[in-house]
Amino acid sequence: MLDVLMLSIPRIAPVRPQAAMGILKALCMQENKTSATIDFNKEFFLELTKTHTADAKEIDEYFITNHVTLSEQAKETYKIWLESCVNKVLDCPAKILVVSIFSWQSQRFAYDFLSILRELFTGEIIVGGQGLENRQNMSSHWTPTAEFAELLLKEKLIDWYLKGESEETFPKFLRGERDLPGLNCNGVVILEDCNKIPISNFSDFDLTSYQNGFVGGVLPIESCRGCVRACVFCEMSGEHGAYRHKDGARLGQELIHYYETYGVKHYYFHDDLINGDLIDFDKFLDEILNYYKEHDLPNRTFSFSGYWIVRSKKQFNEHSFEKLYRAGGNTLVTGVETGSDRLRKVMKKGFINTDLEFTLEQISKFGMKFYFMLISGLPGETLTDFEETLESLTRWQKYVATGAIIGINLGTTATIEQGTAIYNNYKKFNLVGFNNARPTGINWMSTETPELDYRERVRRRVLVQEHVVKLGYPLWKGDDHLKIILDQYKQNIEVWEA
Amino acid sequence: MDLSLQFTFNNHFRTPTVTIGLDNMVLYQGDVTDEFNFTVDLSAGQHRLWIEHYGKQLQETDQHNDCHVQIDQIRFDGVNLDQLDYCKLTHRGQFCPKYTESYVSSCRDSNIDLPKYISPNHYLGHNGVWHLDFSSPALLWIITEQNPSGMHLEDTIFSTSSNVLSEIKDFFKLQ
Repeated sequence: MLDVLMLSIPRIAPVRPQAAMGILKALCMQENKTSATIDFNKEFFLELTKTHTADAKEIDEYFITNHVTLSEQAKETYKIWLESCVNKVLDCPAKILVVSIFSWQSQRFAYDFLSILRELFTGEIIVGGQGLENRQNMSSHWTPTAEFAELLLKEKLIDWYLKGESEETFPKFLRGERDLPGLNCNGVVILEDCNKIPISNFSDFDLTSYQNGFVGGVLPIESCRGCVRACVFCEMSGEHGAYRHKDGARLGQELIHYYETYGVKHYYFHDDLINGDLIDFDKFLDEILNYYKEHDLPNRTFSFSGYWIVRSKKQFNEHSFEKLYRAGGNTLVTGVETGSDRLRKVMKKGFINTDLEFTLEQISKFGMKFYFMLISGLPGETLTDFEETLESLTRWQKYVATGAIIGINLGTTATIEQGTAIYNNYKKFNLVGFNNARPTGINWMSTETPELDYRERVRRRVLVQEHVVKLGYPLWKGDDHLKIILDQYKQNIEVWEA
Repeated sequence: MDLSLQFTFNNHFRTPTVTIGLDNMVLYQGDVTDEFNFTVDLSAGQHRLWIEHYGKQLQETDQHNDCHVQIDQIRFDGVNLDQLDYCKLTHRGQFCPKYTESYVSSCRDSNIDLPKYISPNHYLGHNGVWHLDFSSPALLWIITEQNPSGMHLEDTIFSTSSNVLSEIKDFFKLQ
């Protein structure tokens, strides 16, 4: 019998193994516990969608929209698949079952799956992950209550939930300790030193079986926790704890370790940003470049992508971009949010269009790639701000034509999330809620821009989508986001129609 | 549209002469130079860029020198049309030589059929017109023809479709 069986469940893009699984496996090894991992997420996206395409599409929509119910045929397919998942777990007897609930999009599967499994599984079931919380744009690590986990616990579908950063608590759990911060209780559990995050173990995964287009597969890697910036709409600034990062040289060695262990050359940083600390980021690049030199490897033997904050030319100049390129910088993912410098300043994004356009120019010059997010209807967004966004998108079209921009993500319109500056100081931002409730989620209005009700936010979101499609931008997840917009409205229809 | 053209040429005999045009507009006529830059107003729709090599004389070829113009690079709105090795848009251009009578007859004598046009071709050796058909807006044409991002998101978890957009527009009465 295994000590620990770990499950990766839908819904996550099936592009690489889930990062948490590699960390948990390493922690199991550290505690001399036997473990194995099953990736049901990959099975769903890369197998079920092929064998039962129409049903899987329906099930996928069911995962992300609360108002959707399954047709009889899809229900049957889902039931058979859930049972096969349960059987796979039962075929790997384990003392502890760990289910990673990556986000709110994993909750429907988690609930349905555990509802069948619970009676049949005799070991302990523990869940963790950001999806322990009900709200869509929040991380369970930081919210006061892990509502979804509490529901699972109340319905006796799990024995434990572990909230927060668990690099220090999970090993203790494995040792048998049950009086732990974050274990079946709320509160914030922070790992103070990022250098204590173990080097992940991905030996349970067939790394080449994921769908990412990279020869040899892609591995997740992490440089930091928290963020150096304090964007007012983002909960990370208020609730993710202080910015903590790995030593740059150590991070470089970690990546090299994965290459030497698994032969993988391509990496995705799944943290908030990779260039938070420019001194350590430079050390990381040096470590990689020295490795190439010492081993007679060409530049860009590795490639790495991840979240990026736009820096000014003074902070990250042409030489810095050239070095990033040589080390293997590939796709930089950035929250651009708006094309209006005025609004971006209000949102405390810390950069202006000139900085962004310098970044795009450099990315284009060195043949790297850029993927960015925009938010429609940010609190206080005027029609002029919105028009500036449309104009900026037209101006940036040339970077789509050069292949520098490989994706745009328009999201689901602005929401007010707990832990953000606009939630905490909503009066300062001229925000009001409804029915004497404080502004939250989609239920907010700005007295500064009274025309910006939900319908107007959706209208602008739709217009941006039409604009970028017309300009030929590769728009990612448009369908997902529009379905969520509709779902959010239907959930709050009484508020808005009143 | 900003149009930029770069040429190399042989000026052993004299500087070759070209006419550069867009549809019915002549943008330049005269001696070729290394680079030309134009800004032109283009309506949406189909257009033709053309470059005519003219004035070459029979005697302007010897064993080592051939009066010619070579198209090195064409940029539309700052984007090199040949930026992608697997989709060089200038390769769609066609060169229609105006063969001299003597050349035609010598080829006929050797049983060589001369093509009406040569494509891909960047070397304008004979007199003649090279042209490239494209549509405006040019950036959208490049994006559509080359898909420089390399993304194919249809039928993936990341897809975007017009029917979901229509559903939202209907629901919120945004038509």
